[in-house]
Amino acid sequence: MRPSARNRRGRRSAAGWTCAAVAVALLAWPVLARAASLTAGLDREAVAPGEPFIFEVSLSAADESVEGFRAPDFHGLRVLSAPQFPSRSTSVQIGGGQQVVQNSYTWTFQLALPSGAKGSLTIGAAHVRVGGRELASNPVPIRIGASSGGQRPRPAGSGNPFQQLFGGPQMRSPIDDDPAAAVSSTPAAAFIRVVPDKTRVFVGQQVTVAWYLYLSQEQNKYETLSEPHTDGFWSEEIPSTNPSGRLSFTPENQGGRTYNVALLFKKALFPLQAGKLTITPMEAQVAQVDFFGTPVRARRLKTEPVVIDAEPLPREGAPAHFETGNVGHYEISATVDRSAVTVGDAVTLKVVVKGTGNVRNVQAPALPALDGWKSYEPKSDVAVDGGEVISGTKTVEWLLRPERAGKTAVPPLVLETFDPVTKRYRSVRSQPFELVVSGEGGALPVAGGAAPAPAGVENVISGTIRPIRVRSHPSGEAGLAFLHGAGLPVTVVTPPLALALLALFGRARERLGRDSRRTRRRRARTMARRRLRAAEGHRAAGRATAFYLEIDRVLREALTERLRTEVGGLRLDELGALLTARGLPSEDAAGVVRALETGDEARFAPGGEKADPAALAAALTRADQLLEAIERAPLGGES
Amino acid sequence: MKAMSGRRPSPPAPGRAPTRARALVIGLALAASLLAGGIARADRREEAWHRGNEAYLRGDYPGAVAAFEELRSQGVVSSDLFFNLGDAYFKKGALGPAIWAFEKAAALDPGDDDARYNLDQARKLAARQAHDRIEGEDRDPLWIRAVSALGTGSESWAFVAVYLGFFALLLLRRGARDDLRPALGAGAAVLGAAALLAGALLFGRIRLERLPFGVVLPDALAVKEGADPNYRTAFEVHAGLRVRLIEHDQDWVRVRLGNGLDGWVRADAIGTL
Repeated sequence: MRPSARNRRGRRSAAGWTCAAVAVALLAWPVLARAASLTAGLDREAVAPGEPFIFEVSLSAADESVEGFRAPDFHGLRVLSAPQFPSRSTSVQIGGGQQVVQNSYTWTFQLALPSGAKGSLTIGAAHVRVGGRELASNPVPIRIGASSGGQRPRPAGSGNPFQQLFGGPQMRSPIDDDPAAAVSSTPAAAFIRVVPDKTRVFVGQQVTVAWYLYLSQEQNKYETLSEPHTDGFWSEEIPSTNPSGRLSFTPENQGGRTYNVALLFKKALFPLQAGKLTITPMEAQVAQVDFFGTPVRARRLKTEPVVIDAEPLPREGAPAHFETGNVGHYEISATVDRSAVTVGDAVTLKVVVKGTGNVRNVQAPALPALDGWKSYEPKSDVAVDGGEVISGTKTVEWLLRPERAGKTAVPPLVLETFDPVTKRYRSVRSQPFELVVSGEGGALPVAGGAAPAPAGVENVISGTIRPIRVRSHPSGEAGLAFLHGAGLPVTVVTPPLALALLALFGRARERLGRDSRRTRRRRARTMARRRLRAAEGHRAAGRATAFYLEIDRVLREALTERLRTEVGGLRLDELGALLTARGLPSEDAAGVVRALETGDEARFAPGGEKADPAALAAALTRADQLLEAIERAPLGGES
Repeated sequence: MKAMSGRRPSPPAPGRAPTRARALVIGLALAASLLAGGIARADRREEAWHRGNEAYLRGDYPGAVAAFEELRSQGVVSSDLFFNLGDAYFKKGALGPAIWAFEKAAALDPGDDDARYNLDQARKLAARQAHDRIEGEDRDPLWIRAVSALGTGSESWAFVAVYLGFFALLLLRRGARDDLRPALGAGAAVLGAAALLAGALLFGRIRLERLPFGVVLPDALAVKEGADPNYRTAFEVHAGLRVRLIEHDQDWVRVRLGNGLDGWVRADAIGTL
């Protein structure tokens, strides 16, 4: 029977949809795989006060940037340890032709409820930024009550040293799916032994417990199925001394049978309460694998529970305010970063508790009330040294601010401890010290300090500012006024301007001097023309005496002006000699002398008044010619 | 008619003599009022100065600050004034303004050891509260350091002395005997070179004053990416930090740090140096 066309179409359609769905799924798979999630949780259902517990925040994200992790508010809880960095693991999955990278980040906090806590608490959301997106974890409620008696099992394989020894975490034994698989605790072929170093301890005293694996035959695979629970204990992992992190087997004879024995892990446990505390069994599985890597002959191993008897601390000799966590051997010291400060300044008081014991749980002594000081929330830090016996340092720092001047004696800080070795209580004390505060009330240091120091006491005078200037008026700033006023431009411009003006004035004066000589000569010529016109008038009128007087004057004035020498007082022979000496041509000099002699004769001789008009005209012409000659002549000595 | 069309002599302006007298009186009154105004202004300044000092001495530091600020608003520029103002701000607890005032006093008189000491104290105290460490900060250029090493007064008077001396020698040389002229010329050359150097320093001073610096006044100041409070905060600076002022936009000023980082702050949060 052939399928109908509709059915064929339907089948083709269904096949097409299936292919499309598969394709979409394959395409979407990396996207889905990349969806980041942030979850938080506790390692138990209920938490007893004082009992430490684990709070984990886990992030699963693709290959994106992870930054800005913000822990939730642990208000009302004691944070015993907080991670500086998350633990990280990466897995690469290949599918749909693509490679998907998944990163897992885990932030692990160790917390504790304060003693006396009641009701319920909720740890708020933690936040982290993944690829620029802000993610928030779920809030985690805490049920306060008796311990739930069992921690939530961690994922199988976590902390499994055999993952390195025998294979990766992806290896699963077929026995995992076989409920009828054998459970063996008999020291036959393989077993795990739990070895505490003591079974009777005081509360807070260290018990070192080791888990050893015994194998009579070679095994290829080891897997932890459930870890031992140590409720009622404060647990510290003791790091492996094997540098490679692999199991190190040594042969050991046990009941006539030789085993290869390896230390699985070791823990330092500190009982938190009195009574019989049980370390629950751990379960593990060992197997051999065949040529193809398939596990065969799997064997499940389970330890016996171990009971530790935790004794209460003796009441006898117990200090009044003893903190139950202070079990061990400790010393205490207190230091300040400076002992002399000013009001408003800050001092850091550092208290260091160092020693052997559960140092994380040590309660440093409270800071006594210091009169005149304000203290801020202390900052605490714990450093645990590695080793079989847990030891370390707890540092608490207080920031103190003085509110007024004076001296403050800080008394010794007393740490009450119980030493389980000597079974005695001890009081260890820090050294007392003194803080000196200078300045007066207010936020700033002030000159003069506070109250006078009593005799015999060091008077600390702190640095302060220099006092104000009490003058009749503030000093002026002439320099500034000069720079911004008219002073600068005036000073810059005036000297070169004055120099330039002086130079100009000199030149003008020189030019003016030259002009005056020319003017003088022009004036002399004008005068000469005027006298010649007057002489012409006298000639026309027939006044011979006046005519010759004018001729005499015009010649003498012209000579005086050119020679720059008064010639009026010279005799005619002296004048002739002077003219010749000064460079006037001799005929002109003689002409001058003759013209003057003619004039003198005409004026002073009897009958001179009635001179011949023609002679007068000739004398006038001759005088005019002589004047021209005098004008032209260089006449040396002219200045 | 001719007499009518002819140019008549203008009659003497009525009251000309009284006008001159009035002008004289007005001029004298103006001069007197200017003189009186100057005297009154000087009195007010002196009164504010004494008021500030007295307030300071009796512990009324806000009152002292108000009086000294009043003087400053009247245009008084004096290293004494800024020194006392700095002390008053310091005692009042305003470290940013105190640092600014001490900086002003030290800039006006670089030889003022008191101002430098108090500036150092104020800066130390401010650094205890919050210290801005400018990474990659460049030093001021050499010319700024050279100009800042001397005060305005020293630079001004040095320039005046050598400049006038130079021209005085030139003038003397003009009228001097021939045998004195070379010596006077050499002296003038030396003073001329000194005048050039002093002039360069003075020019640098003027340029420095046109290249304003400022001091952060509040204890903490958010520097924005733009001239508006809604812009993102680029970084934060603290009281007493010296910054360069490179641009103004209404009530905002753009500041630049020593490493070139810049941003905008409100102008009243910066004390201009």
